Amino acid sequence: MQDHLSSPSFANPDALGHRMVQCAHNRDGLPELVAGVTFVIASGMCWPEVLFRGRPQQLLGLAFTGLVLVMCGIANRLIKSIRQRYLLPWVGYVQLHRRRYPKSTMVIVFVQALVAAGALAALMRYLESRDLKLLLLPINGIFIGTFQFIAGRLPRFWITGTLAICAGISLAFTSWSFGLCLALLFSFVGIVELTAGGITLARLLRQRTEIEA
Amino acid sequence: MSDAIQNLASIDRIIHEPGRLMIVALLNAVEEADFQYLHQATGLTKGNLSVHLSKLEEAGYVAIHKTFRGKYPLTICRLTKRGTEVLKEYRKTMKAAL
Repeated sequence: MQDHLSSPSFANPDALGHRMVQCAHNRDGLPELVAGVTFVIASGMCWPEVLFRGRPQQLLGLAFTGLVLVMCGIANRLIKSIRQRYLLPWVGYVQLHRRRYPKSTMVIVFVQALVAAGALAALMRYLESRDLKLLLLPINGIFIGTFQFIAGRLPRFWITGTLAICAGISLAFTSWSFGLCLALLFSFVGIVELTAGGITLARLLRQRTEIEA
Repeated sequence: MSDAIQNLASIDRIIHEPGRLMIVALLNAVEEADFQYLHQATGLTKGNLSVHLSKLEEAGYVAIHKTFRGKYPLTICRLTKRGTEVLKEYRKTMKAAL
């Protein structure tokens, strides 16, 4: 409780409220579990490429973008429906304000995603595997890590974020192929996220059971 | 002493209490929330939370209604229009003074 009540909070109840909602959102570990599943799917898309070397790498870039867009669209709804169905006695009920984004914003986001996918596909076509590794793996690790720092503001997010950054940078300097390194990075981050989310959820469920007992 | 600081004396004491400020700030950030969610998010004990909610309801800042979702009972709380206005005023006074 003291954490929420630093003096600036009294002057800015909005920030206090949003911070509390954010903390409550991360309390059960479901967001991490969903992120973990996403990374495991992403790594699953990489492994056939690594093992059979059958598909062009550009397709992989487009498939990633598609996966990210789909997960951005459904992740919150998925988390909400799991909470309402199975975790209501543990986490309680909440209805957030409905945010309606204007169509222009949606179009801009979609175009940005397409441009990013195109740039990724072009990079994968024209750059050598070694340069790709040095460029994209640290960027991926830093992107995942930074997202964790911004979204979480909790010690476990700092740990998973730092691990993602370290893994991205370390893999960039190995002698393995780019595809293999990417598959390893996503697998590693996915497993870390699933572990962190799983432990958090198990602790929450156990806490409640102990209180009831 | 400036007017902004003198205005602090007339601040709404119902909202200014830390526990109640947390509840009101949280309810302002969401559409509605139930007792269990407020309990988890604020870290207040159930007894404390219940007392604070009663005071806020008495003051007309929070509306409470009881319902069920399946077999699970829900005590749903929502900030009233008056509550939103009072919080806005509180925020203005505090920002001016600090």
